[in-house]
Amino acid sequence: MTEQEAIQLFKCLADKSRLQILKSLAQEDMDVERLAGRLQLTSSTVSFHLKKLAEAGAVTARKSQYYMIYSLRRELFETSILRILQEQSDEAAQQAQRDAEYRQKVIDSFFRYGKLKSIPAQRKKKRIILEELVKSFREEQPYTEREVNEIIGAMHEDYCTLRRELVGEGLMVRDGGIYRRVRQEDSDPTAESKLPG
Amino acid sequence: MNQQQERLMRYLTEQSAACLAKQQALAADERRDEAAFEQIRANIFEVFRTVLTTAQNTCGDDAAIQTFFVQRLAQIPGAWTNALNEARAHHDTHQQHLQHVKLGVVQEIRREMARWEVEAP
Repeated sequence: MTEQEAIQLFKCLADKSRLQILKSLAQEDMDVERLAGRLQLTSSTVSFHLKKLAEAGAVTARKSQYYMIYSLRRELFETSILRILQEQSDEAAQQAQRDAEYRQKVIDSFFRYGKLKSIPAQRKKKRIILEELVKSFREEQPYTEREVNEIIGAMHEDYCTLRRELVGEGLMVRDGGIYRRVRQEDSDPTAESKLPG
Repeated sequence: MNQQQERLMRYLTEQSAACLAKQQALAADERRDEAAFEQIRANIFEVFRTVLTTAQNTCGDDAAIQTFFVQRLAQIPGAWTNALNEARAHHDTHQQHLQHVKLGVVQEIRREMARWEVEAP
């Protein structure tokens, strides 16, 4: 378990309702309605907590007929806290993780369900957004300007500005009216980020 | 302010205060996410209290105040319904719950107003 995963898990556990859900699931697997009845919470609230617990890796879900049945991930809770504390922290890895988190935060702020809400004014943020946009293009494949406009236009109406910025930032090259994505290094952190929704 | 408006204003004020009290109790009980949702519920009651105050300050008579409030009660949640549908389409559980909470308050207000109409002589 990485430090980040441990922090996410502990944050998730620091809530009485979620602890109560886990206690119930420690007894047996249950669906949302049963948990809601036992804990006197609404189904919607229980679903909300279960989503958080699933994201932290604390529970798993499986479909059974019409219902989702939730189970405790026992192997996670069998890990001792001492073992988590004894795991080595690599400063470079931590820095990379912080960068990746910052990148994801910017992406989450500016993208919603695959659409770009606005073009960031700050250069650093704009670069991140452009690196995310350029992922819509295949490396080595030639694109006409119209194709580039259509692909970018599906994400934001100001495709002209974004197309020019992609070239200006060296993420795409234009040669004789044909655009190509510039090959990214394998170590590029953009590979780890994901669009929200 | 007629009797029905007074009753509505009192209801919105009391509900908002009750949500805030519940929010504090939940936070003290280490249920911070649910506490945040109670805060949101309080905010929505406050939104409609402001709508009623605005109606009273701008509309001429009781019928106009009533119409203004009922119209806003139908209009304002439109954006939340759209957000809920969008969240459903994208399986965004967090947003779905958030919009559910907000729309739930609107339903409560509507139910309460309908109850008063039935009770009215």
